[in-house]
Formats: sequence, structure tokens, C-alpha cells
Amino acid sequence: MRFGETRDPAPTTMEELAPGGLLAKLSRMDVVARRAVRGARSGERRSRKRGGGLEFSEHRDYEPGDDLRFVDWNVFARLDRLVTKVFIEEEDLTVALLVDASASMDWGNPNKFLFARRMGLCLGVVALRAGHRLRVHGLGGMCPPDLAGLRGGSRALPLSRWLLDARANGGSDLAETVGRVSGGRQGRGVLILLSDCLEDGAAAAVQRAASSGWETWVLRTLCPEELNPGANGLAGDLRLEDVEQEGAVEITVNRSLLNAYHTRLNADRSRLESDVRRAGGRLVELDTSLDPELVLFELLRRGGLLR
Amino acid sequence: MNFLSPIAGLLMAAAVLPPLLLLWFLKLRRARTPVSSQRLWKEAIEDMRANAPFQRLRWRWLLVLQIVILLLIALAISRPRVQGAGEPGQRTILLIDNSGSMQAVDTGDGRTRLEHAKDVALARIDALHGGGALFSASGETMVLSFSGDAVVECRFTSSAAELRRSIEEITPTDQSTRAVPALRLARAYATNTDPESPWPVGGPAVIECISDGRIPDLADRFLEAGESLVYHRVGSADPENWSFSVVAADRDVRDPRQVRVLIGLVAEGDARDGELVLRVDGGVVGTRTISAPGDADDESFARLDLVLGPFTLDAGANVEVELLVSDANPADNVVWLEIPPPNPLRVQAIAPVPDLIRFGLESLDPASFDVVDSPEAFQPGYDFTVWPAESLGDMILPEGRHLVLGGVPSGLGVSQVSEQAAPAVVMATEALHPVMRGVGVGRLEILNAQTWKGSRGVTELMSGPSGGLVFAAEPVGRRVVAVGFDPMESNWPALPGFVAFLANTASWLSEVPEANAFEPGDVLRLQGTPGANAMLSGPGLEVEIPFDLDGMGQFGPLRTAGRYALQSSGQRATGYAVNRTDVEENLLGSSEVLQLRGSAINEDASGSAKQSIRVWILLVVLSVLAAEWWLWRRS
Repeated sequence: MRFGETRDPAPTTMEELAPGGLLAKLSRMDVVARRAVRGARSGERRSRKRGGGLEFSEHRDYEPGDDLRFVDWNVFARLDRLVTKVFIEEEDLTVALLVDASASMDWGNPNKFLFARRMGLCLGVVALRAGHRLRVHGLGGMCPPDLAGLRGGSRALPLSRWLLDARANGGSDLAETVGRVSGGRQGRGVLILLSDCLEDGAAAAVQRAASSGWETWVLRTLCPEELNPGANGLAGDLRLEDVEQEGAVEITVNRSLLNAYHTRLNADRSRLESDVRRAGGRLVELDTSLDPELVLFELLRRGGLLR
Repeated sequence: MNFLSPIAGLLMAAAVLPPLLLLWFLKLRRARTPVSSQRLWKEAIEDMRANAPFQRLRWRWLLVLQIVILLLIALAISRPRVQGAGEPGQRTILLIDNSGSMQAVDTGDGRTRLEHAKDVALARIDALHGGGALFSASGETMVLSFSGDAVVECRFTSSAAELRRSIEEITPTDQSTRAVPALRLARAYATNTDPESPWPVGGPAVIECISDGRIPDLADRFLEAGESLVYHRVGSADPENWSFSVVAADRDVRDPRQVRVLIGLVAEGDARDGELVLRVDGGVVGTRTISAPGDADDESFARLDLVLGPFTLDAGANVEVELLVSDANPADNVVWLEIPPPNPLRVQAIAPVPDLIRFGLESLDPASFDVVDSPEAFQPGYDFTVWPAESLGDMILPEGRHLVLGGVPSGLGVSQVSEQAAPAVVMATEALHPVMRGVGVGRLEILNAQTWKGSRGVTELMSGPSGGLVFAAEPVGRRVVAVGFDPMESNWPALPGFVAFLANTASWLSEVPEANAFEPGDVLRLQGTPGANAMLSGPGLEVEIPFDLDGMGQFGPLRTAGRYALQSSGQRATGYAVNRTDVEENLLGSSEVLQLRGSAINEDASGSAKQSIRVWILLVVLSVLAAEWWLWRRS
């Protein structure tokens, strides 16, 4: 078996995608939006729209046409001035899952694409069960048509079907997909990008999504072969061929080269995190060898994506 | 281990190792490995290239083995040599020094240097022809001994028994060391082993010289291209030894019965005090305690000159001077002299002889003083003849001993500086010459002096302001003292120094002890009854000498010092003394290097030659190649 070649078979059922009753353990979790977002219709989330919500926001001068029900008569009695009470309107939260299905994801042990789909299923189920609207997009590859407007726990089945049917292949169209999601007229919410971010352009995509009102999380998925190639079987005189791009690079693995690789990986990690943060997003790096429960209940909860 | 061709090996390594590494870079077969992204690897390699140009060259056993193979081949090309036998087919010439210094016993075991040299030679024979698993050679070896001349003890042969026998039969000589004839002979044998072929048919042989390294005539010889010379040193570098440098005797010119023996000694190292014993015809006539002088000529030896006697010797006698001392070389502690019977002075003079000269000569109390009228009346058989220069003209002096007054005759190598005579005084004298000993010339004034210039080999006894005045010369068959001015035109005959000059001249011209004195290496030229034979006896020697019809016979070159006697039937035996007085040979300190012109051969400390291991290195190369093939098959 060659370096990085995936040993695990592709999952065919939801249980194989999220084994060990993982979905059942997520029943009390929810996706956290750190700021008020604007949904498509009223829901369980605060909205930046003032209006018919229950939570008082502020007073403003009465203007003709305002609903007289929201005139604060107590103020009028004391100040002889008509003011209108403004309430924060509660809307539903949209969670957009962007799963990278480029060829580079279908690599490593455990497989990055499998891990990303597993995380996608868990996060999607959490969102559906919390009553949020869920959108699912594939980045590149051979994915089924995008899912949109999923709502309610019962929609976990089409979500898992979509994830099971998705195939990683070719390059990623991250910028195009984010552009499409950002430019849509649907409500804004939390955008979760599951990708290895090995291509340039992840930070730009995050910036675009953030500028469109999306609260963006980048869950960078890397396998042990990428995080520590020397300890995971990379040795000898090799011709490294990129699974996505043309060309190859010839290396002779030795301590110096591995050190240089780690230096470069750390630099890339720091640069990406800095760019994402500057664009308003958050980055969490996930090792595919980690236990999914640890990722969900510790890393993502501590990071603030879940609660 | 050393190398015969280190440059060739270095060049080979420099030529092949870089291409090997380059080929490894080029031929490296890399496993194709898909990765999720090569971006980070590219960046890492770019970082590496600036700092580590060889990072691509990973530790590979195959590469290491190939480098080892090439280094071994380079080593083999360098012709490494270690202790052991020669290469198969190699020809070796053993040069064994059996000169006088090789009789020294300075190794602490009571054995001579020659015996040690023979041991080394035998060990070499064992190594070269003894067989064995690792170092067996099927080559041929030749044995030469050398002292004054080279002797082929054994021609090229592969027979160890024959070689051993020839080495064991080498005997010591008292001759001085001359290696050039041996080297010439060795080169001749090394390059041409086929007497039928006029051209060299063999490659250069390895020459192994076993000696104490005191070989002065090698210093101006080159080592020829491709020639291999190995030096096995024997003997100590700082021995303590006494030896003789001069031995001579003279009879007093006025009283020929009185004999003095002149001795020159050389003390080498910290030579101990000893006793010099003078024996005449076997009886001790005197002893003298000797100590090494403190003022050494250089760091290694000092000279000591002695005069033993005078003592009365009415007839001819054998004189032996022995040094009783414990030193490194007992063989050079005795010298001999054959002193002829007293020879009353007989002088001949060619007329005219000025009265003052005649009175001076007669004061020497000669047994006979005969004056002849003309040069044509010259008779041989006198101790010397006095010639007025004007009687000679352009005539060449006949063989014999002569005193010439008033000019310098032809054939002496003295030319006239100016024909114009002029007053002169003596500016310098050769005071150490026997003729000038005790001759005062401070008040000597010459009215008309011609000046002369002597060539090389002529001793200028007196010098004037513009050239020589008195000369001493020894052309073949003659001994001449020439006074370049007429003594009667000077105040010299009235000075006391003139009588001393005449006495010294008579003594020098009449001395004859050299007649029967020889050194080892000389050839004894003997006179006897024409057509008859005579028996020559000497140290360990008894040989019959035939005389030709002119009554001439010869024996030699003489190998050993000592007393020799030639006995013809019905006649009294004639004695000959052969003495070791060559200072260079008598000095014993062995040399660490054999000094040749342009190169110095270091001694082989082990005492045995280093031999090539190229074949074994090449076998290792083959083994490594096999290992590499196995590794390659495995991989």
C-alpha cells in the first residue's frame, strides 16, 4: 500500500458514515451564531430586523403608518410625545455546509473526505434538529445537486444520502461555490467549510462569505500523512505526484527535508488562520485520526461552533 | 603501508568519484507517490536547496558500496605495499653491503653488521620464496655484494636454496663502499635478462639494498624512472669507535737508522680511552695512551695525530701499530707498515752546481754526492737529482725525484707569469708542507725573480708579490721541488732556513715508505722473476702469482687489510702492508636514509621489504561487487 492510500472502504449507510450511535449523542447540541443574523422567516434566532419580535430593542419617534399597537402610551402620558417601541424580530438560522469534494480530500488514513462527510452529517443533523434551515453544497468532485431548505430532524435522511453519494474527484470550485452561496437571496447564517484548504483562495472565499453576512467557520481537515509524513511511512527517493494538478516533485526524504516540510506546514497554518480571522471567520484544524466525538464535544464546542 | 604511485591513485579517485555521484543523481529511480498536494513539498525543497546541496543524496548502501569499490580501485592503482612477499613474477635484486664498516660489532649481540645484513637478506629470501597462503611469489631474485666493486653472488633464480647458499657465502671485506658499480650492475641485470637479446627484455626489478647507509658515491646518482629501491638499514647510528686515518714512517735523512711512525686517528662518538701499541717485527717497542680529543671536528668525530718514535731500526722491519680498546669495530684497530732497510742518501747533481748549494747538500752527509757534466749524463738510481734550470731547456724531467734550481721545468703544470725578472720578497709559504716545515723566509730577498703560476695539483710552497716562487709537484713517476729563481741571486743560501729547506727537500724526495703501502681495493702490482711464479700470502689467503716475461704480476683488488708477503723461490720475502685508512669508510654511524640525488630513501624500519597488496585489494573489490549485486537483487 502506497503512502497516503486510503485503506478504509467507502461507507454506504448512514450508520457507517456516523458509526457508534454518534448521531444519537448529538440530540442536545445546537449550532451557535455569535451575532444576530437575518433569516428568511421568523424562527428561533434573533434577527437584526426590528419588528414583531418579543425582545425590546429601542424607542424611536412615531412616524405615520406605524402600528399603533407598538406606540408606548406610558411615554406619551409622561412626555406628551409619541414614540414607538422597536422589538428585535426572531428569525430562523441558516446553516450552510460546504463540503470539499476535490481529489485531494480523498486521501490519507483515515480518509479526509470520509472524515469531512462524517463531520458534515453530524453538524447537519445538529442544525436540523435545532430547527435551523440547512443548505449543503459540494465543492468540486462528483456530488449530487446542492441541498437547500432542509429543516427538521426528519431531513437527516436526504442529508446522509447526499453525503453518501458524493464522490471526491478533480479540483475544487471553492470560490465559485462560496460566491453562489453568498450571492443567494436566502437568509444568512453560519457557513461551515469542510476542506483541507490546500489550495490558495480559502481565505478569499471566507472573506467573501463574511462580507455577505455569513458567519464563517473553516474546519480544516488534514490527515496524519499530511501532518507528520515522516512518522507515517514517507521514506526513500520519491516522485511526488499531485492528485489534483499536473506535475511532480522529486524528493529524497531525510531529516532535513522533513524539518523543512514541518516548517512550511506551520507557516501555512499560521497564514491561513490569520487570513481567515482577518476576514471575520474562524479556523479549526481537525486531524482525521481524532475521535469524532472528541472533535464535536470538545474541539468544536470549545471553539464556539456548537453548544 | 606506503604507495609506489600515490599520484595515480589520487587522480583516479578524483576522476571517478564525482561522476559516480552525478550518475547516482541521474539514475536514481524514484517511486511514484501520489500526494494530496505538492505545494508544501515544493516550498520545503526550495528552502532546502539554499542550504543543503546534497540533500538528495540519501544514505544508500548500494552507493556506499560503489564508492568503496572505486576507492579500493584507486588504492590499488596507488600500488600500496605492505610487509610480505613480492608480486608474482616480480624480480628482486638484493644488494648486500660487505664493505669495511659492515664489520662493526655495534648491535649489542656480538655479531657484525654483515651478519645482520645476511640475516635480513635470508629473511627476505624466506618471504619472497617461502610460499604461504597470502604472500607467495614465483618471481626471481638475484644477490649482489658490494664494497669497492660489485660481485654477483647469485644470478636471477627462483631457487631459495641457491640464494640462501650464496648469501651465507658472502664474506666481509675491508674495502671502501662504492655502490655505483653495484647499482649499474643491478640495473643492467634488471632490464636485460636475456644475454641473446641486445634489447632490454625485462621491466625494472625491485632493488633492495641492505647496508649501513654510508655510501657516499650514491649522493650524485638519480633514481631512474620506474625504479624501486628499498633500503634495509643495519647498524647503530652513534657507535663509539677508534680508527686510523694515517699511517706512515720515515727515516731521518741525516741518520737513516732513526725511524718515526706517523699516526692519524679518528675518534667517533664517545670513544673510550685506549692504548696504542707499537710493535716492530712482533716485539713491542712502545706504547701510548690515547684519549679522544675534546675539540671535535664536528659532532660525530675528532682527529688525533701522533708521532711514535724515533726509534732505531738498522734494517727493514715489519711494524704493527695496534689500538687496544673496546670499540665498535675491532677490525680497524690495527695497521701495518713495511719499512725498508736504511737507505743512505745518494744525491746526483747536474753541473754547474754553485758552491753554496754544494756545501748545503754536503751538510746532509749523503752517502754519495755525484756531479755529472750534462743532463745527458743523468743516471737513475739516486735518491734525487739537483738540476740547474738552464741545463734543462725544454727537456722533460726523467722519472725519479728532482730538485730544480733557477726555474721551473716543463711538464709540471707551472707556467711563467712574466719573463721579466724583478726583485721580490716572500709573501706567503705553505708552512704545512713537509718541505717547508721550519723553513724561515722572513729575511729572504730575491734580486731577480721570475714569477710563476701553478695549475691544479701543484703546490705553491713560496709565493711572491705577483706569483709563485717555489713549487712542489708529483706528476706521474716523478716527485719534483722546483725553485723558480736562482738562489744565488738572493740572500737565501746565507740564511739558516736554506739548510732546513735542503734537508726537508732531501727528506721528502727520498722517502719511500709508500712503495709497499696499499689500501683495500687497490691492486698489488708485483715484480718478480720473469716467467716464474711466487706465492702471495695474506690474511686468510695463499695464492700463486705468475709473472709475465717482463717480470710483472698482479693481484687484486685487495679485499682485506693486513700484511701480505710475496715469497719467490730462493729469495727473501717481500712484505706489503694493506691498511684501512679511508676515514669515510671507518666512520661507522649508520644512516637512516639512503641519500640519492634528488631523493632520499628512508630506511625500512622493520627490516623487511614492503610488498604490493594490489592483487588483494582487487579481490576485495570483486567481493564488494558481489555483495552489491546481492543487495541489488534483494532490493
